[in-house]
Amino acid sequence: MSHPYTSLPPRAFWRTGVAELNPLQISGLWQPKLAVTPGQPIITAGSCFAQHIGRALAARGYQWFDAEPAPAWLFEDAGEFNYGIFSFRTGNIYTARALLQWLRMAYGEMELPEDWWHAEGRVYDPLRPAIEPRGFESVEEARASRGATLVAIRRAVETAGIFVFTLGLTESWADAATGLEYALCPGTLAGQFDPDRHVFRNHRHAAILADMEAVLALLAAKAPDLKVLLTVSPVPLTATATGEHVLTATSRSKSVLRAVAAELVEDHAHVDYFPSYEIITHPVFRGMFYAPNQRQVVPEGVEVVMRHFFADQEAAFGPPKFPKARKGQGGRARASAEVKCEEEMLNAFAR
Amino acid sequence: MPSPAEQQPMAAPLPSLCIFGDSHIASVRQALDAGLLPYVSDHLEFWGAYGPAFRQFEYQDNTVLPRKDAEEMVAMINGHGRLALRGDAFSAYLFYGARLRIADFLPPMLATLRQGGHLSAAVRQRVVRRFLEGRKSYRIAQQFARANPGVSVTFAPAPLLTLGVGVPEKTWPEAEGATADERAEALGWLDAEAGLDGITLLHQPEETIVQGCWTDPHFAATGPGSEDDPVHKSPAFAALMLSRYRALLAG
Repeated sequence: MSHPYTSLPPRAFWRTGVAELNPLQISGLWQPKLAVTPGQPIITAGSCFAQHIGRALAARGYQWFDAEPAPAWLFEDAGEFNYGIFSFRTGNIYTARALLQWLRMAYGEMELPEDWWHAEGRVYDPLRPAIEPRGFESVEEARASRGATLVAIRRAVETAGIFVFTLGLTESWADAATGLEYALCPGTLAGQFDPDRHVFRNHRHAAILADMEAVLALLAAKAPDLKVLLTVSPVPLTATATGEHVLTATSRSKSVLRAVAAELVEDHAHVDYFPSYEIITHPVFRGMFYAPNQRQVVPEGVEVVMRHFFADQEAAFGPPKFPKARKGQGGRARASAEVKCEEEMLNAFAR
Repeated sequence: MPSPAEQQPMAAPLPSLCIFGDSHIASVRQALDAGLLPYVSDHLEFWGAYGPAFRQFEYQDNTVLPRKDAEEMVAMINGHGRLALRGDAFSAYLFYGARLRIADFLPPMLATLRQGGHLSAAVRQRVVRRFLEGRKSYRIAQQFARANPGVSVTFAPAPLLTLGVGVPEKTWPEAEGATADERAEALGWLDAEAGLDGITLLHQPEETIVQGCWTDPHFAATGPGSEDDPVHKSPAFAALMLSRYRALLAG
């Protein structure tokens, strides 16, 4: 008797897709609908894990596009100043709302906030407080620097063929009056926490989906050909402000983000999801890609993730065709080998 | 166009001066020989080397010494038998060219600025220090200024490449068309840091710059084999630089 399961490939069945294989032999985890090609400018943003993807793409000769490159002569210090980490100098963008804020600011659809944090005579941008290791020397300087990043965001969006965005967190802190969402909780790295002014948000599925739909609409308006590749960060929360255990809070956060990503892929032909989250976190892989702290991902894990990425791309679209190298393009050396994670700042306050 | 000598016939002589440099000092020598620097007195000496020999200098105890390989060249360039150059031997030092190439700094900075980029004060300081202190000649100038407070130490970086001459290794199309204000901004970063070291920077005159980030081909090097040399400049350019230097010293 014929039924829909008779013609399915081995990957569709747990026994043949998983159980009978060594975890490192599992293949076909991704059936990409978007081709990521070497000649296509690729931009990356999001939480810590997105840095690995950008770096791996550049290392393989893909055209990772740095829209806000480090100035000449900064050399190996570029990473210290957060150049070359993402395609623009926003630092980590952990939430969908934060991404939406950056895009709206870049395109003049949101008033630029004049909320600055201060510490030891230095000025910090609450939207990217770790961007300068010692903060800015004045509000004017912080404002000008942010302005340059907004220019770079526009250049990135309008130049890229693919935007890789890694959804990181659902938890965030915001200004109660304006709704402005911060990159970090005020008072952790800089600024002063004011319980009357600063509110905790644990974004829910519907709100994140709405924010991401707004992101996609804005991107489509400004760059109609831009494709979006989503991932979910497999890096657990450093800390939770929900009152729950950080482990269950992590599950809540990642589950919601994963569900949002799935629905966006189902609803938009130009949006895809790459399962780096599953490759790192799924019990099938026995946690082998995590460092002993069960939080950071070891380089071998990133390597496996990217091996899946390129293998699944090749299975779907054939071997990559590398264009002849053009001077000053592609394969740009990343500024820092160390993944930057401002959220680590919270560790300083952990008991 | 009148020569600098004709423009300033009643010039006061410069104080005792040492012009320290690499192959760029050849154009100064040529300008002197051509009578373009009438205000330069007998108190002038050249000191330096060109090619790989320029790297064969050592600094110790307020003195620059050539290593063995460079001695002959230094002696030839100096012509006064001064192999060891002390920081207090002259009342003024002009480091000329000396491997500090503004073409390596200004065009990329202009490209960043003209694409909407911004450098924080901390980043500016880091890149400027790396550019300046990456050259041994600048470090020698620093030591001279530090050890000899009464001595004038000026550094004239090697100028921008000459437009349309030779094939530059790297170009910065985004810097094309930069304005004088934009150049002044980036050069001001250099001036500020050098000032902290007691060094005055002597930049190439604005009227020698074309298309934002190039030297006017009018000032291209004129010697044999210079047809494809975008780096060196003419004696007229050197005369203009020395004229500015004199004005700088006069305050």
